[in-house]
Amino acid sequence: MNLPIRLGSFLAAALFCWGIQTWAMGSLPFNLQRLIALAGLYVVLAVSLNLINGITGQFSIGHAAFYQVGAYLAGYFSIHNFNPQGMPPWLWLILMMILGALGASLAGLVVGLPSLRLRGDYLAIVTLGFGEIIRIFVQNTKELGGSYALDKIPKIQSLWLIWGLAIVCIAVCRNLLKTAHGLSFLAVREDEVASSAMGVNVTKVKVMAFVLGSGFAGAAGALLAHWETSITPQTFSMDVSFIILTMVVLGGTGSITGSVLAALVLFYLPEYLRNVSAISGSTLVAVTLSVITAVAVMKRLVDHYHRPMKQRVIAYLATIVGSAILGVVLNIAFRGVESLAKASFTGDKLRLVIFATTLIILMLLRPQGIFAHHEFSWDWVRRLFRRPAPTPGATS
Amino acid sequence: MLTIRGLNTFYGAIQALEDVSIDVEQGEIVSIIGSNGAGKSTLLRSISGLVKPRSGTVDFEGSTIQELGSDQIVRRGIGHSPEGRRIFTNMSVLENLQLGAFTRSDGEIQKDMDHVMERFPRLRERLKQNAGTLSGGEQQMLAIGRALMSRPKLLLLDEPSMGLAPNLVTEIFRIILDINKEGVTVLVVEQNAFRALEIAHRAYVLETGKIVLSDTGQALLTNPKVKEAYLGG
Amino acid sequence: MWAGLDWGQLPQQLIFGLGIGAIYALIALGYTMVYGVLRLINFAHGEVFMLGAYTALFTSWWFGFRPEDLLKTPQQGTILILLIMILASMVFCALIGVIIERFAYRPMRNQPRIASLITAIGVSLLLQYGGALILPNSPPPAISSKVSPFADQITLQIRPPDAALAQAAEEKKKEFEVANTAFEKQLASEKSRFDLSPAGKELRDARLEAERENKKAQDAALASGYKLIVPSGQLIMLLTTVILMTMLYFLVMKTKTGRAMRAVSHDFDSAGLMGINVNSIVTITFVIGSALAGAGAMMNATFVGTPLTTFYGVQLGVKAFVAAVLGGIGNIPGAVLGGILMGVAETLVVWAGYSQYKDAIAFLILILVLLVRPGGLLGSAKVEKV
Repeated sequence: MNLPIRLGSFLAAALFCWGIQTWAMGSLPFNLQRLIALAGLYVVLAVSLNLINGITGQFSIGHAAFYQVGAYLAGYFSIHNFNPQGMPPWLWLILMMILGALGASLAGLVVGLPSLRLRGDYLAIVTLGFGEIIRIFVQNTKELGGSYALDKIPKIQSLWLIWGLAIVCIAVCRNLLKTAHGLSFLAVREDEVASSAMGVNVTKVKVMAFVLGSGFAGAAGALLAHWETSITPQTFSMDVSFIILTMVVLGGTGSITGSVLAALVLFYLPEYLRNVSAISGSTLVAVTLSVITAVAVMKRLVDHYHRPMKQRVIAYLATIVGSAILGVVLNIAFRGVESLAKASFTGDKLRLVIFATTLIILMLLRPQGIFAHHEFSWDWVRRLFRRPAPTPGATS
Repeated sequence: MLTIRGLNTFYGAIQALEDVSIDVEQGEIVSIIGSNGAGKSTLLRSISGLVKPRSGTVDFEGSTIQELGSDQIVRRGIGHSPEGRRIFTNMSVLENLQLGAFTRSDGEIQKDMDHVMERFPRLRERLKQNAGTLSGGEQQMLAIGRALMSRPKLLLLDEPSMGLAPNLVTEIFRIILDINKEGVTVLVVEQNAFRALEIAHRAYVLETGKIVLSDTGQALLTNPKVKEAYLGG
Repeated sequence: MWAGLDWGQLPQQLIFGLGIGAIYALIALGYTMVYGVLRLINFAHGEVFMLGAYTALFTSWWFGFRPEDLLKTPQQGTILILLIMILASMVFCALIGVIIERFAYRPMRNQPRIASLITAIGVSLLLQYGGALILPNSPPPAISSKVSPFADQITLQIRPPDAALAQAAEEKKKEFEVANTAFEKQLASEKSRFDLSPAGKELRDARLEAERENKKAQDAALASGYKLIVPSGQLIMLLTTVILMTMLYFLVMKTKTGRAMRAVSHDFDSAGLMGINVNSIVTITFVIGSALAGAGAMMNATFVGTPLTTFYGVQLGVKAFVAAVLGGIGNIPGAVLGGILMGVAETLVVWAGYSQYKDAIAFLILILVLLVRPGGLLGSAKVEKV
């Protein structure tokens, strides 16, 4: 990459951070500001886990642990040492981010080093276990608030830092992939034995990915602590780890673009559904049935319908329209069933059901993730607009 | 007996077999030779239902089998000793042989087992031993013996000589001839082209997923092209 | 810190640990069997367990053990009802297991394993939150204790109390009874229990003193003897588990189906070439694994009695999974060993006074074991199948 493009990227990133800060902090209500902040943190979490899982192929499913280490470390330190007169808050926050990152990196090293002997699912369960141990430790430590909250953390909210961290995280991961280092990362994912035979230091690469990934999660944790001012162990439960993992896989394991997009979508989907109005039992049943039909047909198409792109798109669209019509008809039909029509389900109750269903459907229809292992690039956009080109690249 | 027409098999987007047509007649030994990655194993896997061809037909004794699952195909009478032997290393030799007879419930299983052990006396010595402790040659014998336990009419052998010492290779090919003499039709896939052509009634040459040559085994042994490419000049 | 422990309680605690461990083992078997054939962590297994507990609850309701029904027509459960409950749970769980496998896991079989894992997490979430839409959130205890005819406990007197102490206790007891009768007699002539005459007060104090002495002597006598108390329910649980596991062992090691299961777990393709229908073996595996979870769920809900929500299976499921990994995932005896170890370890931690770390001990043991034996206790540490 040449200098002007690099400078331009820096400038664009800075402009984006500044823009989001002034726009959101100036005109949006508090809860929306918070959503934007949390979305940024989830981008960091997903991209950093993608570094561990997707790029070096280690199977870590306890990412929330490192998030937690960063949050509690920075939060605790800040409660006892923050002096508003000492330095500008943003500078303090950056220092706290570094502290959180260092702490989490250390934790990553502690987990990563011995775990290297383990493979696949064993590593997965150890990372999960480490997360639980950290959570239970915090729960039983009074100085950290125990199972209640660690609160009275100085309130330092900075959207530009959060999104700045997200951009830095993306840039670091991307550049890692583009350099020789990156190649060795990918090699480790594809074949450990072969890459060690080629002279790649497998241990070093794996530990580096682990330490780097956990470090970013720790920095995100520090930002979270100072945004929320009060954190509880429940904020970092196993579910959170699962959601981060889901973002990575759904976006396409190994694809940074995919992780970013999936993080945004999967974070906002449940939040958005919180406010959806209640639906009746009959609608629920009708929608369920039509979705099942659509998925069943689509799955068959994906597996067996090997035709040119255009015909396939038409078939997919026909399926969607067909099942939508089916849904409407069923909805009218089920309205006659009194017990169904009377039952009512609120969006708040349904949101995680919809979330789970979305996961299953997406995995069934596109197991390689939305982006597979592709990345966003301008070339790709250009091709997309020029003409309906054949699908970019085959999966291997 | 076995008729394959226009077979196309894909792994994802990669085409492994392209318009392959072969015939195997009752009582024959048919060899398929070709280099590494030519699609030899894929062809056998397509016959026994381990991969589903995208198009083309596989007919066995007059009925189409390419839509059947591999368990059904075994029941029709096709035994397959796969590439790399793939024996059950976590079980005893005896259990491996019993699994070979999984589809059968007739009273002659014990008789066939004795027959296999006459053919491969070393297996009898190691009957209770864990199959993972066998040597390479013994594992190959177990794999063939296991495939014979289903009483196949057609036996598919994938690289039976791979990784074996030369004297063992000779023994394995002698045994293949024996099996054929007892009435089992054999389709063998080999990189060791010389041996495979020597025992074959007829043979095919597979290159990058396509059949490029077919003739009797003897004719191919003297074919200059085959000589140059597969028999070391 | 060890001085404060009541070591005499240790065998008692071990027995409790065995009971809990048996449940862990039953669930762990499901994880390990599915992992054995599909190399998939079946995250939805905990939810299958949860549904098993609900099935047991509904069956008990059907027999009239709904709290409001019991108020109207009190009744006591029988062994037959328990049998029907456990069978209902096992059958329903097996059904759910098969459905999950058929529609969520089978289509993913040729996909990367991480994608199947996400599907499993999705199914697990769907059952938790989707279940919460329709299933009742039962107040504790979920299943009426009336269902179980095994409410009593068995006392095993290992060592009788010291003769002298027992004698002394007997005397103190008599003394107390004398003092008590004297006081009761005096009460008749008093205005009220709370407004005593000086003579009454004296008798009352004497009685109090005798009571104290009596208690002391009784305790001393009791402590000199040694007995184990085993709730009958716990015993039934252990017994049932042992029976189920023996059946499983026989099935896997001695039958043709079992041999086919082991073949499939070793190599899908090779098993297919033996004429084994891989799909039906996978289905059978899910049937067995889920039915065992159903049995465990019914017993846990009936004899241990936890409040029943749709998140009932989360904690137990994760721990049972840890137990399976501890024993060496994919290895059936390993799951049993891991489950029992975990149950005992947890009980001991509580007994040692660290109940707040009860949930962490499972993971701690796991990590320590994996550091020494990366394949688990009984598992092989070989490179996983590609």
